[in-house]
Amino acid sequence: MAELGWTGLLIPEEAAGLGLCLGEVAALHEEIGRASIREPLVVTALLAARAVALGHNDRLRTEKLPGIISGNLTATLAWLGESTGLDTTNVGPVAVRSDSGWQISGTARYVPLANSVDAYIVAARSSDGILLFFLDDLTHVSIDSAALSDGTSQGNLTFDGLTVPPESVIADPEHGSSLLDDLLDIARVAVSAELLGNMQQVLDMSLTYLRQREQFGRSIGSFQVLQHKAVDLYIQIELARTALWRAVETIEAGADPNARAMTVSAAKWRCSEAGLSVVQQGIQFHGAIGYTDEYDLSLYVHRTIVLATFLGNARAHRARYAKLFISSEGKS
Amino acid sequence: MTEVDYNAMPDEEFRDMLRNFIEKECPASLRYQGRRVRWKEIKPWTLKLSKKGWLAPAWPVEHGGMGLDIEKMVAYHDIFDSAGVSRAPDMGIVMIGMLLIRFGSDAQKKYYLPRILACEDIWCQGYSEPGSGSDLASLRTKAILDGDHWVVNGQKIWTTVAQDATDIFMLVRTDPTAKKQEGISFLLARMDTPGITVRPIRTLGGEEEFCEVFFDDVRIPKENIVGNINEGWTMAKTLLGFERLTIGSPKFAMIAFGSLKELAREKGLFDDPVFVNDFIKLKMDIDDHVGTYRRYADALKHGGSLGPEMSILKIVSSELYQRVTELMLEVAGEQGPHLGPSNFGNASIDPLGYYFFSRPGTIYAGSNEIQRNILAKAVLEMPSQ
Repeated sequence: MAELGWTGLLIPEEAAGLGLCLGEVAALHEEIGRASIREPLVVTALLAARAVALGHNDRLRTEKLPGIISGNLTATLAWLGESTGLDTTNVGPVAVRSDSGWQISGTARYVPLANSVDAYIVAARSSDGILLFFLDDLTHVSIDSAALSDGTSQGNLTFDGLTVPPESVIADPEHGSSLLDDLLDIARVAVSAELLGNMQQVLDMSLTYLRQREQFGRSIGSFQVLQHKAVDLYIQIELARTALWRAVETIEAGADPNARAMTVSAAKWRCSEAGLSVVQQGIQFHGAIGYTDEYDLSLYVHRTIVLATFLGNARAHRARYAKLFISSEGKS
Repeated sequence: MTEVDYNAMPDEEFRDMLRNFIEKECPASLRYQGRRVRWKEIKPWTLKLSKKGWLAPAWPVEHGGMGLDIEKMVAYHDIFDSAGVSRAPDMGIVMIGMLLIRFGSDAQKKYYLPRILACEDIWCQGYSEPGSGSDLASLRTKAILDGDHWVVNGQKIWTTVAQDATDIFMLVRTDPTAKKQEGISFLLARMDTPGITVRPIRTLGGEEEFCEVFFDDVRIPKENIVGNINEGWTMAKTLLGFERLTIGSPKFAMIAFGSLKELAREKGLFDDPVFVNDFIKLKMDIDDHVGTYRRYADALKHGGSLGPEMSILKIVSSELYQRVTELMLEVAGEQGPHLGPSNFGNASIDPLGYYFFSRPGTIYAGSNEIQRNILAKAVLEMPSQ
């Protein structure tokens, strides 16, 4: 995928990316979801590469970005603390100014690919605001990793007073928060698109199965009770498509961060919820074979569970949306 | 006939024009109503729209309509819906007028269309019969040609506001020997023709919203048939196509949601996490429905066609509307069962009215079960039962 340039899709051409728009990224991720490809494109391209590309550290952009884009240097984003909120007030690691730069302590949780990358983009809170750092020396970092349902992993990074030089700062306290929000929201759009591709494929697989499988001398797809359930999934998928493309269009039209957050949360909520409904009903449609790990449906079940959770699950996004909606309209 | 080319107008200017007119001319009693308003209440406002030439957005300009393209049509409905404007008995505009424009004779167009636009004639739709609901093609009301007249005998039911109507368009069986869809014709009749009897039926909501219409040896002039004899079914199906965009519109759910929001503010419910959770789910569902409605309308605009996917809009809008009213009834608490509007703080809202008025949406115009059958067959290509 790196050879095709996909790791640099949203990166401007002058920085060795493809300079494409979000709509194209969403279309690509929908196809990735359809094929259930478990490559960490969202992590490397949309979280790590974009952080370096949009940060203001020219040296890192020159030295590291080409490596990330070419796939020679793998990187991930570490930011979330104890809480499960979605915005930058939930950043876990803490940075304190020191004689030789910054000292980082605390924990970043649920970091995708935590123990299998070469470098980290770490977000940390300081008294002045949020900073983003680039770290590729991992001494003084302990990693506690967990395997996930789909065969990928995530882990917690604990920083024990790690000292980082000023040259490793990607975004200073003035810009860190808005950059981090931007990275996360764009990545959420891509994850939503992947979920959409997943659910579309699961519905197609289910329909094929329902047409072919015969019981009582007839195709089980001729039973109305199954037809209506299939229609309800199809409706959910149509709504998910609407939510995803509304987010893409809103962002491409240059929405402010609040409008972006609302539309992204609406999309990630819908796609996560619909994605899970579709795989759950997909299992039921397939009967016993749907419960087996060897059948292809399992790939989509596992992947959907992980994607529905990644960067905020349905509940978390509904909560963010609710907070924004009520603060803007509910009490007026 | 209008001289303004609405389609050439910038979208915002067009919207402002409608919005300003509604704000100025449409009385509050016709806005955000959780019930069907009757003709005598809405007539003055409808006449104002008629005078402006804004009554028939979809009709071609040469027939006195606005001739709107799909983009402006969506804007038109958007403005009226978000302003919560009640629907006049508009069967003449959205149904029979459209049908006559397409299939009517020159004489029929010349006679009926201006009368519809001037609100002289109010139409009702005679489709359903006691034994023919979802299986409409089994209808039995029959018309037999006797000289220059059709003699009609039988009964229609669930005929919306027939008591206010001057005219009825209906499906009747003209060939009892043909296959059921093939022996049906499309007839027009004056409601004051001898032998027609109307009995209003009270709904759960306490309104006389629909009627039974009886036909006893009713003599209708021979030329009151639309299109060819025994081809009524095909035309009726075309009509349902006109109706589906309207029926799948988010209008009702949005109007009810507006009242729910008002009720919630008055009762301080935005501090209640249980309410907020339910409320936000509805809000997000409405947003996605509105988005899907626009997406399909957009596809039309770019030359696509409205397939059975339109059934999605009908299903989602009617079920959402019900969910909104169910939550409204619940949070109204002890005032839930109050008949008619009651006071919540400074607001006067009728949760029970909304609740009842939202019930038939999942039943009429092809029940949601029928819509799901259509989608399963035509879109998901699932095998026949």
